[in-house]
Amino acid sequence: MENFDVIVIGAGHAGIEASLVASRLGLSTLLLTNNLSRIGYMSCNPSIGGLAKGHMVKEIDILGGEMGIAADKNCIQFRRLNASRGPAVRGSRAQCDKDRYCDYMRERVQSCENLSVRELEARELIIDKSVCRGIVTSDGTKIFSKTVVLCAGTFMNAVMHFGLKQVPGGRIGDQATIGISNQLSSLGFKVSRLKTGTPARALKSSIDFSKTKAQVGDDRFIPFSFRSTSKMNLPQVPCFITYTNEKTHEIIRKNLDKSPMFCGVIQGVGPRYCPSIEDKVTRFADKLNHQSFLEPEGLDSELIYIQGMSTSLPEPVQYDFLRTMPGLECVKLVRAGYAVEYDFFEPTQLLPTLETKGVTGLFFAGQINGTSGYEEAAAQGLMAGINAAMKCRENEPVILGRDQAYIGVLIDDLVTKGTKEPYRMMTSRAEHRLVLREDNVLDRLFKVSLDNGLVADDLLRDYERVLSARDLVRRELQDRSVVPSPETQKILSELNSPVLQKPLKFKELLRRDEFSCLKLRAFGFGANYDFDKVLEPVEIEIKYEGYIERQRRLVEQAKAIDNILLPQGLDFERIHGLSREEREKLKKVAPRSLGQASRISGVNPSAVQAIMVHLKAAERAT
Amino acid sequence: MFRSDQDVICALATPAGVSALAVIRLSGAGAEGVIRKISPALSEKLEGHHAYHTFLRDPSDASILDEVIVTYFAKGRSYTGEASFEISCHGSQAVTENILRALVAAGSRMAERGEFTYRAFLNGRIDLIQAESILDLIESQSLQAAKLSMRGLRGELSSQLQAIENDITWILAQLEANIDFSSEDITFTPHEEIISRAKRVKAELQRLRASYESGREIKEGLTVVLVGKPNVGKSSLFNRLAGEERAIVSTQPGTTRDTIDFAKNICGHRVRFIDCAGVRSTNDEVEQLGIERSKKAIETADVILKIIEASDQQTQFELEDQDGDCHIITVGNKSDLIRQNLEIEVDVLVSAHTGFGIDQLIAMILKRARRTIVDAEAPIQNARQYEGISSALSYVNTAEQALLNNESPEFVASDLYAGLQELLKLRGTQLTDEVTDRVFRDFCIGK
Repeated sequence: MENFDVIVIGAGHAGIEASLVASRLGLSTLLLTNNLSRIGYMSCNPSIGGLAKGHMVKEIDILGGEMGIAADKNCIQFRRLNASRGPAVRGSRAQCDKDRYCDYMRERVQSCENLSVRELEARELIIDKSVCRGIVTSDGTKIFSKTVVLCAGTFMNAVMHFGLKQVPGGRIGDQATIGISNQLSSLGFKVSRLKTGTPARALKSSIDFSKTKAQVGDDRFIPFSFRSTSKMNLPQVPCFITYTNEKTHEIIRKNLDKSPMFCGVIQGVGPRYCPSIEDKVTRFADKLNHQSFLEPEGLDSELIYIQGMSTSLPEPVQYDFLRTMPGLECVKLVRAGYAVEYDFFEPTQLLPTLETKGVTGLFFAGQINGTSGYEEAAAQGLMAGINAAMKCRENEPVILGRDQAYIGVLIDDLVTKGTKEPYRMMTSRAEHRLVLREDNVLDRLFKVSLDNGLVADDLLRDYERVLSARDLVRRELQDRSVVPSPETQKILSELNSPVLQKPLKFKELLRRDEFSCLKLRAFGFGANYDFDKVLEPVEIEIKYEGYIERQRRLVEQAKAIDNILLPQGLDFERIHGLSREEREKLKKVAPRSLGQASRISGVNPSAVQAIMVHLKAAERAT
Repeated sequence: MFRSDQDVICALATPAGVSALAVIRLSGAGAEGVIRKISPALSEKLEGHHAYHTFLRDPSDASILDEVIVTYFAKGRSYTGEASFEISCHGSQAVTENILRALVAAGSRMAERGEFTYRAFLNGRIDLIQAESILDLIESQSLQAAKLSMRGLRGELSSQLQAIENDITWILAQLEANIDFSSEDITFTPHEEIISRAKRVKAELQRLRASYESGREIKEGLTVVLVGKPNVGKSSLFNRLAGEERAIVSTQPGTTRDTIDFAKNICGHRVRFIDCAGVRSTNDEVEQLGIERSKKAIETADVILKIIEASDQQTQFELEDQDGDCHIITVGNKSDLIRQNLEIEVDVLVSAHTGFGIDQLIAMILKRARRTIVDAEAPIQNARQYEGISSALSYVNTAEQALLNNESPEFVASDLYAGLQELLKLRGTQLTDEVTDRVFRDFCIGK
């Protein structure tokens, strides 16, 4: 009889992070996948990061996760989105070589100490009096464990739609997982349906790229991972832009009766930020063309991802409308686009540790919680893995705050508000976004890594070195000044900056719009420091100090109410002044703090006050 | 909702004005510390529900403010549920104001409207419904105010707030689309259009904020201040208006050394009359104090009755510049003494002695009151709403400035969210996914 600390079901982006972190924390871990060749497979677009998502990848990295370094190693085009905007909303994105990414991830999990990886299907969970004790594989073997992390992605009761034809399965080439969601549903878990879609993949040699516009990556590569260097591992390749036109739209409109979305065949709710092309054409009928990026799936790959054209129309119709687009006149598809419908568990059934409220020792992560995106999945996988490990060791759980990380926002949103559509992270979801930047991720999460032993000692020392270098830079900027000497004035006028009337601190000079740490080098400053890791983060802090300080004050205000904890098992029926709807919602979510209660949709400020009144009364009674 | 619940708060519990006694309330965990600062001789050990005789002293110079009775209510056994004191002092406005000032100097702050009741609610002494009905009772001081409350209940203020919120949400959606979906192929709203919407939001908030002044006039009544040189018969006129002998009348100039006021309902409007000390230079210290107080009264006036003697050129005087909203009525008194053609220009001729012209004067005052009501479409009604609107306005101002300076949209958004939150708080509701919903509705987004 086999026995593990942690069993992770599913080896997608969530499962990889969960199994790696648990085994690195020293726990015996088993990772199960239905398909060993698709560990960490990018089922949809070939890129990692983007706005708010790039933030999460960096957070995952500082917390010891793998996604950042994997994306850096296999990056074939890097871009920093919103580069001209403020620092909080700049997001890094890497196009990746899909096959190499997979290979890298498989190698990582297979070579990881304490981690066994097996191609096996978990048919059922062993649940004994609301405690999860392991799994039963499809051949009936029982494997026991202290905790199970379920990361089944889109595979639970999954159905693929090709036009009006339906095939069971969560991804072309892979089977659906049938047993577990039915088992959990019968235990009282609320299960709903979501839908997602993916566009066609074209054969590279069938595209005439001369009719499209190339878009190349940035010159400056800023890796996601603290552990990567700023030198790219692989050559960079361009993407290509093409457009739909009136003809394309006409074909789509004529064939809407063959779309399962429009015929009511698909019941699941799809993501609004990633609509199918038939959706775009109907909902924004006055838009004359829609842009599409043709993205290579790898350096040696013959596949081109036709971005923006996700569809569930039948393959012949896809051929018809794609061939109206410049460059795609003779396109050959390797795989047509299709839609997938799958089960997810209403995430308000989870604790903020991602352990289920109903079954002790069972954790959920990734798309089964109603999210979409590789980064969202990886972030949850990491946190579920950490907390499964903490549970095995009987340590305190690790819960990130909304003012601490996008990962904190993600999980708090899921367990507090739930979701009706596939949840995607956006910067606007973070009310404290001005303090949640890519550049200060180390400041935000260093202590979490340190306190919980999430990264190796030598990496921790690197973290500390960078943090103390930043302190030195801060001090130097504060202490050193420029004096209005002829040389100074000459340098300033060459830099188009006003000359000095009196000595000025470096810090004040840096506040000038036209100044940067790099320009301060003219005054002999900062030559010894790393720009990406040390100088730029400090520069941002200083240049945006006013905004950052204001946000900090708001964070403090928010904390006051977040720090008021609600006793476990608080009976909302007994609290005077709540509406029926508020009671129902509060009972369902069972918030841990008054702050969390205030974020439940439909729970009004008066209810928050009523709870406060109740708590004070209870306090007085004791 | 209110500022910190930890503060010690104080307020006058009895109506303002002259009376034999007035009661000042003080509540909060640190109330005892505050009162000891102004009452050094207060008994060392206080027992709940006991009254103590003591002198209150100004903490800055130890001068005596008043001789009072202080009643102590222990925590859990007071109206608010917190440690509280009730100070029974002499009922002059000067005395009560000085005591309140001293209490604030000693570390408490003025309570906001309804804050004692709010604390009673917070501490579980009363339920929400009771709290609301007590607040209503306190607030409906006149028929007009009652009407105004009705309007508030019917949601006119709410619907105006919602219109503003909708505009802010629209701007936020434009900004957010431009941040989170900037790399997608969508058409963004021109910057100028966003600025002009921000200006509209600002103008609406300014209008609402200004309506507080007229709202306040309706609730608290119109303040009418009588000003004039000594011995032009201000007090006689005051008594005539009051319909009773309130002020001491004599022919000795400078008889009125303090401001005296009374309020009454005239045709459904609450009107408060304040009689001031005569405006003249004097060496009498006490009278000088009275004159200082008159100046303060003039500052708060909605209507000033500039009183001169109709037959005496010598009683003319210039008023210092008033802010634009104050209405001045020049009243020629002692019309019964006119023997020849009038050379002085006045708005109305009256005789406090015979009652001549008084109705006409009241009509003129009421005209001002009615103007207020016409202006007040959905005036904001209390300090809480005023504060909320003001603070929303200041966020919107900053956001507008950031837009004009072409700053990155997330900075503009951070102020707009803060402003929006203030407005939502006023309506007792929370921020939901409206901005995101709007982004997806208005923009064709899709990877």
